[in-house]
Amino acid sequence: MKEIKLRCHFSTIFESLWQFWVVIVFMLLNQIDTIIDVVKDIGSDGIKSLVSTGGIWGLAGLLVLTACVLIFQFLRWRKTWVILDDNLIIIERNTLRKVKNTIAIENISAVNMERNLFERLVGTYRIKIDTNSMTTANETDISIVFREDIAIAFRKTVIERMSALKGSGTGKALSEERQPDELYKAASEGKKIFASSPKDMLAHAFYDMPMFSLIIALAGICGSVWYIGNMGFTAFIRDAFGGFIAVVIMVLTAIYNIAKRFIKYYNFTVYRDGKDVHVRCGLIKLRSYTIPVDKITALQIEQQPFSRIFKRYNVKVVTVGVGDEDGESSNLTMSLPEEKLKEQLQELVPEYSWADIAKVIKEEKKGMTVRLVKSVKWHLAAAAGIIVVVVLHGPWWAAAVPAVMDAYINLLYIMSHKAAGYMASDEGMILSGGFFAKHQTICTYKKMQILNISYHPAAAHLGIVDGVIMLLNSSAGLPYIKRDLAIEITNRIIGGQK
Amino acid sequence: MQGDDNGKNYIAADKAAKKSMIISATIVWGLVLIPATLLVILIPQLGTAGKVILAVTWAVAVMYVILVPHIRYMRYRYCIDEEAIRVKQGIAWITEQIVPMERLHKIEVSQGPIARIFNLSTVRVTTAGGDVGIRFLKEERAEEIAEALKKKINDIALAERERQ
Repeated sequence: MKEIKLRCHFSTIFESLWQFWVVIVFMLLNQIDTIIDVVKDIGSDGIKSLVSTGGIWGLAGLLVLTACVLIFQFLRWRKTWVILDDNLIIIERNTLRKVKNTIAIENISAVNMERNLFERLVGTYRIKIDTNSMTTANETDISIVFREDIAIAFRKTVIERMSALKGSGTGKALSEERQPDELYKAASEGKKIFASSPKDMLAHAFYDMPMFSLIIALAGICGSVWYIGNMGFTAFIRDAFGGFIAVVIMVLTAIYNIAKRFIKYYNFTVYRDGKDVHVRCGLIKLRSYTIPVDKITALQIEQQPFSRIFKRYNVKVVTVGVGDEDGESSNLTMSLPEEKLKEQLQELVPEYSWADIAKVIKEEKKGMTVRLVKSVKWHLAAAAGIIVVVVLHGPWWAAAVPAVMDAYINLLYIMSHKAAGYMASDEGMILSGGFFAKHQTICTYKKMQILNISYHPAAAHLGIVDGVIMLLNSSAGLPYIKRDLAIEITNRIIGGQK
Repeated sequence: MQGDDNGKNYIAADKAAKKSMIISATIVWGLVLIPATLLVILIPQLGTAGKVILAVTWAVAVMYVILVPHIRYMRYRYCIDEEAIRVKQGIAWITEQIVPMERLHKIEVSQGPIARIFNLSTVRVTTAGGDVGIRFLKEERAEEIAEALKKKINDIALAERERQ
């Protein structure tokens, strides 16, 4: 096959530059008072003051630094080549540090495309390639930027070569390549597409919101209302201006949390095509990812506290190559009621149809007894904390701090018992866990790598055990179950082939 | 020393393991206790509270050097059969790690400086989800286990290729 040698799009030079400027802006914000003074001086005395105060040198230094970064990025861009050989992808960089990164195409697990606002403006796409390697399971192996048409052609070529290497024995390993923006066209080919409406996305943003940020925002608002009601608004601004700013930040954070999710999952679309699941979402940063079903380690049904109250579920995939980086999602569905969830999972991943969340059995009641025994150490620590406060003659209310911490830790023990559960079928298991948020991991026995069983003395006395099941780039907690059942599960894991 | 549990033939660690554990614990606690004791002697301002804390630390250290290695040795068991590798360990809280043979990726034999004194080695088996160590094995026994496991990995890979 012909060797293809490419450079990344030149816009990457400037993309890196704005990151440098973000750092500079943050540094300048820290010195905002000085900046304001300098600007005031320029306003009154003209540019002379900038020279006399030495500000001109700072400005010149900044420009020189920007030029240096620009030159560095230019050289880096010019000396970096992406080579697509027969069945290899080679990233060659001949800057001061020579690097040659070679990846065998047969080891690639995902070739995803995404574009942020900048890339959308300049008409490029970022291609992210991930391999099956466990050592890089939590990071993207290759991230390159090409012009739109080149990016689409490059991805198509890589996927074609992956399919060719997998051979005809595995059937249609990867589906036909499509431009992310043309995903809807697939509907005409008889594929069932699950597209989310703005209402669905807003609902998802609400149900998926962590309760912690909402509680803080509500507590801040309630506290402020109480203060204003009792002391008056003027006193609030005068005496508690810092608190006022904090409340504003809390409310903005809560709004930001909802808005962020809405933007991230905007136009969430998912469909099954052959042996792959295709997902597309994002308003500012458009992401399109393909998940080969045979590469899925597990499915994770997530329920943040609101979702638990309103019985909503959203599913994420645990796989190498998707959701590796900060802020990246690996959602397969938005927040859905149980019936819709079952319908979508049946269509998208029928391989997991054995997993019925309605059949999840709650953890053994004896599990709570063990958790109570485990909590004794926290009671002792809290008692010691209270005694120390009393002996040191601290304010009496300071003793409430260890007491409240003890109560909170005990609440966590109770919540973890409430969330814990399991379902064991012939194919695999559902393992449920969490505290205020609930996570249910669906995994086949053949994907389970190591089983760690723990025998706490109290648990051993009651004939129950708990543990952790290690998966590729993930793990799932085994709730307290009868010892006999643990042995049966062990046998099933051992019996499950690779 | 062998033991039977759930029909599995568990094997105890080599007897030298206890001595290795005692020396490791002595070094670790020595690194804590020697400077702590010097501090209490040289700084009288630390007073009774300092002496009490030091005494408690010494008591814990003595327990970890004398008693704990004995219990750890008694509890430590491993079992390797056709299907899986199992390692049981702990003091009061016992954990059992089970690695199905089919999931093995890599075998590694290693020897730390203290273990080398007692001719002890560790066989570390790696899967896609992490690794597990079979510790306190006589060097020859470790090599024997590693060889057998390597053969098993090859056999499994061949069988897998044939299945495809």
